[in-house]
Amino acid sequence: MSRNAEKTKNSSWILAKKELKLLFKSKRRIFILGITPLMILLIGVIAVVSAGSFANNQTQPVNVWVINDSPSNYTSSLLTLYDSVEGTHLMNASQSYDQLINSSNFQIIVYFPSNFTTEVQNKTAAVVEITYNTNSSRYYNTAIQFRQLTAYFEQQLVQADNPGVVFNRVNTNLTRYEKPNSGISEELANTILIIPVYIVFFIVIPPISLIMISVTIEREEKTLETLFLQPVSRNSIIMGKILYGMLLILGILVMDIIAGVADYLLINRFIIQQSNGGQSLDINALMDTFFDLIGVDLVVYFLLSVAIIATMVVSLSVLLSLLAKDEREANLISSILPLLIFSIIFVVQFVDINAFSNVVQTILTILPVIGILVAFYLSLISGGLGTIAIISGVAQVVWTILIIFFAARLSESESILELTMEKVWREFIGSIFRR
Amino acid sequence: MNFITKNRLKLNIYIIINNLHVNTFDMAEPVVVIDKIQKIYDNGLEALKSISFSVNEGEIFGLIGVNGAGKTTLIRIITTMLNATSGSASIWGLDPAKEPERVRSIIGVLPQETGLYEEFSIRENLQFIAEMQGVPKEDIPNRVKDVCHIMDITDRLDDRTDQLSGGLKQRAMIARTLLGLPRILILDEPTTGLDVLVARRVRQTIKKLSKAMTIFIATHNMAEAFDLCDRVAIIKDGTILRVDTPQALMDEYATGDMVFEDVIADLLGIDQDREINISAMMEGLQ
Repeated sequence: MSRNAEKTKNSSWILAKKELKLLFKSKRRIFILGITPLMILLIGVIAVVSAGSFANNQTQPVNVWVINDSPSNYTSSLLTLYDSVEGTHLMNASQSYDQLINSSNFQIIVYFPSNFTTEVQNKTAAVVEITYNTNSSRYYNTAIQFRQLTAYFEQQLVQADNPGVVFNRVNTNLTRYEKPNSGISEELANTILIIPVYIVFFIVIPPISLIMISVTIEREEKTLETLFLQPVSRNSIIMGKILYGMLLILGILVMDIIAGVADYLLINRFIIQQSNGGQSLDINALMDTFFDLIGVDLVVYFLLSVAIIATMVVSLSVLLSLLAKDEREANLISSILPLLIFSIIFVVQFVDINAFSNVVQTILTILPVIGILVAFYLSLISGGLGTIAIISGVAQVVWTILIIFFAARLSESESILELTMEKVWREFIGSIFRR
Repeated sequence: MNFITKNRLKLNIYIIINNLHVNTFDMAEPVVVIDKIQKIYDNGLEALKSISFSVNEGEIFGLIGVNGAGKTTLIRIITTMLNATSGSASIWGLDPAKEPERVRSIIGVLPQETGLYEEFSIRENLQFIAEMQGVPKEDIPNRVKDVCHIMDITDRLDDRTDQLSGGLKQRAMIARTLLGLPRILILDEPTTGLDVLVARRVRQTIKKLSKAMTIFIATHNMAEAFDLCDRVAIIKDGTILRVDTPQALMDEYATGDMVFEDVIADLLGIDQDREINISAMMEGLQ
């Protein structure tokens, strides 16, 4: 008997494309998709509007020790510029540079070597040494501003002597100081931990409800049965939903980046340039300092972690949506999930995890989603990637694979079209032991 | 061989479009074989009790029974949505339990309930399913046009599905089942909930489609089964009572002015059950 029975190829991609097309048919879903970039834009606008009040809120000034071994008009001009930075307090150091470094008791040191003035006069490269302590993010922010002002000073100097000619005249040697054999302080680690928390909040959380709705609507409109009746495997339908979730996250990421750039342009134009004599924020310097502060390995680890968290949350949403009876239940779960994640993040922020034993720390780091944030936090404090970070990374990958596997298994359940939680759970447990 | 079969199906579709009443089948070869299928659900309910029958190529085969008789369970086993507890099924030589995707690629299924994306137009719904069916991209526009022509919905192609009447939705659903040029069309209660005229139109289309493919209908509408089916299987409480042509059943059981519905009701014992229930109720009232 003749036959021409074939499985359809690329069905996951076809399904993901259909989901995206459906997404743009509903204003409500478009709004959910666009809410985070709008929030980011709003934050930028609020920052610009309330810029004046921010400036007045600087209470504790940053103490800057000045060691000037080459006093001249040049150094005093430069110090005047440094002094113009709000929230800084310049003081002449009574100790030598080495003594200050050894004591670790400083915030920022500005050091003009004895040859500084001669080098400037000879029009060769002079170097001002700026060393900041990694205790607080405020110190490196101030150090970056000093570097920008040095560049501004050099520009003025060069322009005054040789209009139109650019050459190396005054350089800043920015040095990061941290206590030997240790990472950054817990205060700074907590501050930096806000970055992944915000990324989870702005990029990973928003699509949860959209992903969950995409499955429950199929069940409610009876299209899930239609999907399962196509010549494609149920696994590829689950993969199609996960692919759709990942595309949503990618879309939100792109929109958030655009909103972030818009924020930067706004803040740069209305806050930084106005308070900095027309000078823009030196993004390259800021990035250099950031990479220098936490280390390239941790940055790469963090980026990989975000990708893993995104995949895991998307897979978890698909899994939970298979369990949700209708859209109301899906919305309920999708509002509980972020609450759960954030309550645990709250614990990470305010409980002294560093004081826990290694065993407890390891258990915390292998927890799904938040485990990687705990590992990131501990790595920041210990000053690099350790065994605990690697264990956490592997655990997160294993969790993700398990969740995808569970979702695929659940989709094979006979009750998937007319399910109750108990029925699916019973079949699911049964299917694990049967096979 | 694949090329020839696929093109024969295309040819048949064109025969339907042009209303050429030519049957290209050599009837008799069984394409659906159900062999001692039993289905027991997890809660212990035995929905099917070792049933056997076969459906020949090119025929319209009806599965008749009251609600809860096991029709939908059997359809779900044939369409790979459920696995049988014991026994075997063969769809065009393929085992639904072992090769579900391949079975689904040669059948077109009309589920009992509407399953269209309400926010899509009919065209978008059909295009998506055509893609899922593996129809080559360049063939999709023409395939959509053809099936819509068969179901006479061409002028409503770009209307949003949630703005359509129940009859139009049902025709769009049948159009959807044809997109993959199925060998076997499985229709679960195709006219339930439709008004009389729309149901008549759907039945006419099913008759036309039978020139191109084998059709398996589950229904509790006896008149429809008599009008459409070459053969019927009568199912009660998970057991097949009889498989025969409607006319043979009429010849054997009809007395006086009995119509097909009365014959089937007799066979299923519906009237007897009802009389016993009414008597019991009356006694209770007294």
